[in-house]
Order: sequence, then structure tokens, then C-alpha cells
Amino acid sequence: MAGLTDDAQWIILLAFVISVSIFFLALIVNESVLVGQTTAESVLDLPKSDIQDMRDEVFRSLEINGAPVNTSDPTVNWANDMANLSINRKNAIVKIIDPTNNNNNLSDRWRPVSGEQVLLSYNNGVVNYSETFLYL
Amino acid sequence: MVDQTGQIYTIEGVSAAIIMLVTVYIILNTTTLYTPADTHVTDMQIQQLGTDALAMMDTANQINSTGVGVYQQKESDLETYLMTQNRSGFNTTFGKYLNTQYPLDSRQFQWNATVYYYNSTKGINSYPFAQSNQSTGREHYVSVTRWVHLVHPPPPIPTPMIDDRDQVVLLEVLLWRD
Repeated sequence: MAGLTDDAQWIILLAFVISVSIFFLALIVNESVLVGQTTAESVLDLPKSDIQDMRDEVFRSLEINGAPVNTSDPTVNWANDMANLSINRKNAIVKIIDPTNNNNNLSDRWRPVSGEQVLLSYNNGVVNYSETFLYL
Repeated sequence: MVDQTGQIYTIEGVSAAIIMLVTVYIILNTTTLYTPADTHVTDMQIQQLGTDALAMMDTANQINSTGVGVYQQKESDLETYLMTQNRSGFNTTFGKYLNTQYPLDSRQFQWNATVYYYNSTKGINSYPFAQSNQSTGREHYVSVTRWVHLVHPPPPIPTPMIDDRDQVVLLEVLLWRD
């Protein structure tokens, strides 16, 4: 290499350093897309809204507690509606159980007695949620 | 004997080659990942927006002290719309909550709502409730749902008949961007 001198070594070194830093910035941008995707997927997969909505409706229904019109068949009630609609439309098993009364499904006994426990369970194959609360 | 000049040019050339190769690799990876990531993020946002709008509609605005029983005292707009089959009321309120941009006539979101119910003899059934626009079936829509408690079936009972009783129905709304 004719005419090669030791001048401008700093310039070359700085260019090298800047190139490496741009390369790392590109890596970070690349990762951010992946992070956005996995976060959105996790939010979509976790049925947070479904569980909140189910709890809301169970409390509302227990509070309303209207007498079932069809008294001849106590298995036809709102708890049974929710269990059936969940499995057909939401791909989730919902059970509303009265553990103090031989683990009877609320479907068989349409309303718990005051002071009893009510067990709420939700399972869609990925997320399993259960909760016990006192019926006041 | 090998000359010692030109060492820095060699190092520069090698590092430039590596940087270019890795850059090309990153660009190719990024483009293949971008599309699915993008749809997931917007799906999540639309789903959250729809769920929140329905939750707002299913919350009573105030306690109605003259109402008969707990149900009427805390009856939400959504329950009223379903019990009275008030389709235009549902469309107006739901549209107002979703489409916050001005002017209100230019709808950003479209929806198609269906009510699913459980009939004790016929099983699961449904009837169309309200829609803002006819879906072509090719939209990229998300589905949001809400449980609604009805103390009696809606007045013009659709066929096959809903049970005449206190019941919980599932309101399923397909939501898409126009």
C-alpha cells in the first residue's frame, strides 16, 4: 500500500465505534417488535376480561336473586345458563358451586343460603381460576 | 517477507463486511415478524376497548330509588336495551363510547351484536340484536362478550322461544375497524 500513513487513526477508530453502536441500536429495535408481539399475545390469551365479567354477573345475579319462574324444575336457572353458554360460546368451563352443601352445583339448587360459601371456578384449558366467597 | 502496511484497511474491511451481513440479517428478520406483531397489538386494543365500552353500558348510571326490587334499582342501560329490544338505543350509546373522534357521524368502528341464550328444552340459541353495518365476512374482526341478566324475556320473543323466566344471556359483539 503506497502512501499509507499513520494519520487519521482516530477517525477510523471513531467510525468503527459508531458502527458498532448503530448495530446495537438496530438490535434493540428488532427486539422491541418481538416484545410488542408477545405482550399483545399474552394479553389476548389471558381471559382477564372474561373472568371479571363472569364475577360481575355472578354477584349481580346473586344480588337480584329473583324467584325462578319455573319452580317445578329448579335446575333451570341463571347459574345453569352461564355454565351452558360458557362451554358453547366461550370454550370455558364455568362452575358455581355451594361447597357447604355437599358440593352441590348451584344448577341443582338455584340459590345459596345467607352465610354459606360459594365457590366460583373458571377453566378454559389454559387459565384456571377459582375463588371462594361468602354469600351475605 | 510480508509487508506490515495496510493492517488498518484490512481490519476496517473485515468489520464493514460483518456489519453489513448482520444488518441484512436483522432487516430480513424484522420484516417477517412485523405483520403478525402489528395485528396482535391492534386486536388487543380493539378487544379492550370493546370490553370496556360494554362494561360501561352494563353499569347503572345511578340508583333508581323508585324501582321495584334490586334489579330495577340498579338496572343498567344495556339491560334496558335488551329487555325492551331497543336496537337504536344500543347502537347510539355503543357508538358514542367507541367512536370518540369528531365528527360523530364518521364511524371508525362497526359492530354486529348477537344475543345467545339457553333454552331448557332446545339448548343454545341466538337471535341478531343490533348492527351498525352489514358485515361482508371478510373484515378482520374481534369478538367481545358480556353477560347480561334479564328478569323476563324481551317482549317480541323471537323464535325459537326464549324461556319465560329470570335468566342470563350472553351478548356477543363482533367489532371491526371500517
